[in-house]
Amino acid sequence: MIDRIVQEWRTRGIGVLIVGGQVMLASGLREQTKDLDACLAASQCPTMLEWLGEKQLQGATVEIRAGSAPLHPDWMSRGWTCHVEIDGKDRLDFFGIPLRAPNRLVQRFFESPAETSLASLTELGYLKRTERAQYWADIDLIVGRLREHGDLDAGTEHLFGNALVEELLANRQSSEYREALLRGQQTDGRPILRLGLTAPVDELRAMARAEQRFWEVAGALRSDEIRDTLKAFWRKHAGAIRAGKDFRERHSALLVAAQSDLPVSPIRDPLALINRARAESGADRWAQLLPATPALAAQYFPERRMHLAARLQQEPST
Amino acid sequence: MNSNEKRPFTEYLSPEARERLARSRDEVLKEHWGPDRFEAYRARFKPPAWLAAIPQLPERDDNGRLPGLT
Repeated sequence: MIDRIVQEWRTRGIGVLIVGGQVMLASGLREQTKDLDACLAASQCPTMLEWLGEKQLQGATVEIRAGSAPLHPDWMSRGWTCHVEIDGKDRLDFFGIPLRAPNRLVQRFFESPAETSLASLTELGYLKRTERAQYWADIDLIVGRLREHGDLDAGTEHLFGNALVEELLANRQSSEYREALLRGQQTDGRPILRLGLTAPVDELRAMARAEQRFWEVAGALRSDEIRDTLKAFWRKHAGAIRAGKDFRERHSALLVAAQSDLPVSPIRDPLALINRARAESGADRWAQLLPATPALAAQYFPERRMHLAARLQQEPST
Repeated sequence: MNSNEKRPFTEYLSPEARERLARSRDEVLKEHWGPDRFEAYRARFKPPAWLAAIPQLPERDDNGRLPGLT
């Protein structure tokens, strides 16, 4: 019972930011979902581990699913995930700061880690830019709902592919539209919104396909690398992890194994991944279609964005 | 307003264009399915009470900015 689990967390003051299907459900964009995707700040990891250990002591079966990283800030804060199943039916997927997390989601981890809240639809839209077709269907629904709520700009932020082309073609003759779009925040990280105002139709269509394809390829490359690493790790350590008599022992075994054998960053070379996605998607046919590689890597990997922001703050202003 | 300040671009759209963009999925479905089927659909999509009790982060920050990636 996902609702009871969340209630227990709230009662105990364990803060999570709920993302994924539950946000779609809360917004009336999905009828049901079995999983709970919960983002945890570093400070909440120990209390969540304690809660999971207690569930086992109270008689529940708490299993760590294969493919998990430890529920520990060193791994969770860099994009790994941990998957737990309670009594064979409730699936909890724990994230730290998820890949492609927007700025406010990152801020929230430092400002109010002990509160429980749902991500906004706009935030969820960023998290769903992956290789999964279902997620792009979700993005379409998110755009529709944002527009129903009157937030047309937020909708445009998540318009991709043909839907984006249709919108631009329908409106770009209007000087007011062009001026407003150029002034808007949406173009900050998506140059296509600027280029699309003047590009020939066929080229615009090709650019829109390539832009969406970039996120799909980047997601697939990321998934492949993580899957390969985790497969090798779990093949080697599953026996030791599963030999633990309860959740606490199993998680301790997972942590010990990870300390020696699982890199804290799930992607070895973020810049190489971005460059490969750029090339494989065909997006590099247009030099300006996507932001520069370091900026894109900062969009994709929040850890890099935080690092860059900290460095900029330290540099004396000139 | 400062001319360099970022504003929602839809502020500049004509009323007709805004209406077309804002036409909700619900309106489209209601027209397509008819009211009975539409209401049945809406009832099915009612979010559970426990989720409705959890605060959802607003779409924009206090300065009206989207929670962007840059």
